[in-house]
Amino acid sequence: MNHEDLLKFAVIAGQTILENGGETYRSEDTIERMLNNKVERVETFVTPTGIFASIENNGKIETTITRVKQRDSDLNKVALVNDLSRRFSKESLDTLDFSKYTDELIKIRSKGKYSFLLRVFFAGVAAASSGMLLGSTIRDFIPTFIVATMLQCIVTYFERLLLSTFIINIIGGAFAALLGLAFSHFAIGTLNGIIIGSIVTLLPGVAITNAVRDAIWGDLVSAVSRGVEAGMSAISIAAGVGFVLNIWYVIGGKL
Amino acid sequence: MIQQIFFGFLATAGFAFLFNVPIDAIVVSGLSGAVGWAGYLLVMKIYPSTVAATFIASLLIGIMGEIFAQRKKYPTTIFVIPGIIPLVPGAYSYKTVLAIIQGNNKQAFDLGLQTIGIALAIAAGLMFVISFARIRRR
Repeated sequence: MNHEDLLKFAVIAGQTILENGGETYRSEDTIERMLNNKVERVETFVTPTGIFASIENNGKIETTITRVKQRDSDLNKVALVNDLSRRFSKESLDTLDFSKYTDELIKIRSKGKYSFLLRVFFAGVAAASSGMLLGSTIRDFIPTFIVATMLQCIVTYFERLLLSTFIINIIGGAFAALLGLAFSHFAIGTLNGIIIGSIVTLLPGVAITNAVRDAIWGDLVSAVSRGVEAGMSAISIAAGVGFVLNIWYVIGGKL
Repeated sequence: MIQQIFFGFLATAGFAFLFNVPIDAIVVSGLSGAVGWAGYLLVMKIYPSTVAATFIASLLIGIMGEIFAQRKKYPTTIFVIPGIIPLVPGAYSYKTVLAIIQGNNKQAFDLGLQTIGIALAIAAGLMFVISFARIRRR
């Protein structure tokens, strides 16, 4: 084991956190914590789209740049890598069983989410209950549940095609509006209640929360880019919904 | 009211499932969502302003998140992200778009300002908690 391997390992850990919905400062902290007692100096600079890290040893500096393209929200992985990095930081360089940790990290990275059916079901529950909080009536509960489960199926399908988030949001918003119109046309639930409830699962909650946290930690570059991400998703959902409703309005339907 | 708090719990726990929160943290994060929503309803009763209520709710969710994070040794994010989502002004941004479509520009402007106000209230509530939690940890 040499210093290159250590650096690579720490950066992959940081990348895992960033890809799965962790904040940028957490990613930086993780890399620094893991290497602090093993090399002379470690510096990192993490943005939501890339990781720069360098270590210094005996006057020699090694640097690596990692581009982060995919972003997901899988908080289980964030928790697991966080735990791993805390244990790793307590190891000293002489007694370190390096392969044990690399194996663990590979295992964490390949972990799946909850099963598809369970996720779809809870998307429905979450959307229908949020709808109730946002002022729909109990009559909207069942239709919102149905729309949200179907929406989750579609979103999962398009995510597998690796479409950009904005396109997925536009399609998702349009789909929710379309089904909302269909249900409310036959007087099963109200239009506003169904749409407000079912688009909740598309909202950029992770991006908003992380933008705030990055701003507080002084990572202004990350905060601005996360904020832009959140704003763009909100606009694209609204565009999808607005597109369908506008057509419906123009052809003489009632809103 | 009790029914609303129960739905707050369900919504937060459902989102926790979607974000793949570890199984032993799901009920806890649902709880923090329920407490946050109870605070929201309470403020709405005393002083009916969505922005103020959202601020208090996100403050409560942040505090609960910090407490649970220390108890359970998980990062705070795990509890905060699912709890925040029911507060995110999706309903208001939707209504803004609807008003724009109907050519109701004045109403759209009012609703748009509401949307921004709520987003800032969430941010301010979280900011408060995180800044103070940072002092304690040092």
